[in-house]
Amino acid sequence: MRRKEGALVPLEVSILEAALELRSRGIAEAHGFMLAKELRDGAHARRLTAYGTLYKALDRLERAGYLSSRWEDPQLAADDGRPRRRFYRVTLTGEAALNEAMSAERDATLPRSAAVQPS
Amino acid sequence: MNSSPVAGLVRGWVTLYTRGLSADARAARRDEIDDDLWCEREEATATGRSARSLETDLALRLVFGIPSDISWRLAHRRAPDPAILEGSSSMGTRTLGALAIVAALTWGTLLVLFIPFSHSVWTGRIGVFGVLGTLVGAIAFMAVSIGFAMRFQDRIGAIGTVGVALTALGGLASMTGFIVPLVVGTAMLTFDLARIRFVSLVIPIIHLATTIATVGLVLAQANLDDLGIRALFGALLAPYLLTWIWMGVSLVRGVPAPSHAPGG
Repeated sequence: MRRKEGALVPLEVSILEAALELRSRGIAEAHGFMLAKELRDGAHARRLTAYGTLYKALDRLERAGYLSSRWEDPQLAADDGRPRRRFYRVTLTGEAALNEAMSAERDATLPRSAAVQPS
Repeated sequence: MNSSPVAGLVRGWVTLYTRGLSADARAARRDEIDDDLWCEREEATATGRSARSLETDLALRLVFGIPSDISWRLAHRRAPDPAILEGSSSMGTRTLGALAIVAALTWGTLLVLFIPFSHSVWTGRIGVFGVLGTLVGAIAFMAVSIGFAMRFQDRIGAIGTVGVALTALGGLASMTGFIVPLVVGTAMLTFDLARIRFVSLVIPIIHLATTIATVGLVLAQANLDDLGIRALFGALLAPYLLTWIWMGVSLVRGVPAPSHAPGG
C-alpha cells in the first residue's frame, strides 16, 4: 500500500526520536551509525538497522525537510584516518512532524483504552 | 577502513546499485556506508566482539537492506536519457509509447517464429495468428508514426513529413510482406525526430542500417526459403524492433519537460 505523503513510518519516528534523544544528551548532530546504534540500544535489539533501510529512511526524512544534513570537513576525517562523515540534525519541521505523529498515535489508542474503562 | 570480505561485498553492492546516478550522489552514498562500516568495526574492536560475529552482522545488514536499496534506487532513477529530451507523461504520449512496444513485440514474435517456420507462420496452423500479428504490428507502427507527426507537427521538417507518409504507406505494404518502405520511412522520421532532439541519433542510424541491409537483401534477391537467410533477416531486423521498444518505454515512463534544441 502506498503511504500518505509526509506521513511518518515507525522507523522514521524512531529515527527522529533517537536524534532528539542524542540532542538532549548534548549531541546536536549525529551520523548514520550513531543513529543506528541509538535505535538498536533503545529497542534492545540485537542488530543494527540494515544499511538500505536506515539510509533510505534518512534520505526520505531529509527530503521531507524533517532532517537537515551536512558533510564534515574532509580534513578532519583524514586526520582521524576514517571516511568522511555526514551529520544529521532534526529540523523544527521534523520536531513538529514527530509531535503530530505521536499525538496521532495517542489519539488512535485512546478509544481502545476508553473501551476498557469501567463505566 | 573496514577491509573484510563482507565489507567489500557491501561496497560492491553500493557501487552496483548507485550506477547511473550523478557522481555526487554516488560518492555521498558510498562515503556514508564506508563511514558506517568503519564505525561498526571500531565498535567491534572496542567491545572485543569476534570477527565472525561482526561479519555476520555486516552480511545481515546488507541482505535485509537490499529491498530498500532497490526501492531507493528506483526512486532516484537515472537522469532521463539525454538522448530523449522532449515529451511528457501525458496519456497521449503514453499511448504512443505503448503502441510502439506492442508493434515491436508483435513483429518480434513473428520474426522469431519466421526463422524456423518460414512462411507457414502466415499459412500454416498458426496462420491466423501470423496474419493478425502482422496486421496489429503494421497498424500500430502506422499509428505511432502518425501520432509522432501530430505531436510534433509544428517542428518536424520535410524529411520527417515524407518519412511519416512513407511509414504509413509502408505499414500497408508490410501487410503483404514488403517492409522496405516502412524502414525507409521510419529512418527518415526518426532522423527528423533526432534533429529536434526527441530521440537519440542512434535510432535513425539503426533504422538507416536496417534500410540498407533490407534493400541489400532485396537487391540480392535473397531467398527467404533458406534458413540461413531468414536468420540473417531476423538478425538485421532485431535492432530495428529494439529501437521501437526503446522509444516506447521512454514514452511510457514519461520524459522531462521540453528542452528546445537550437533552432528546433
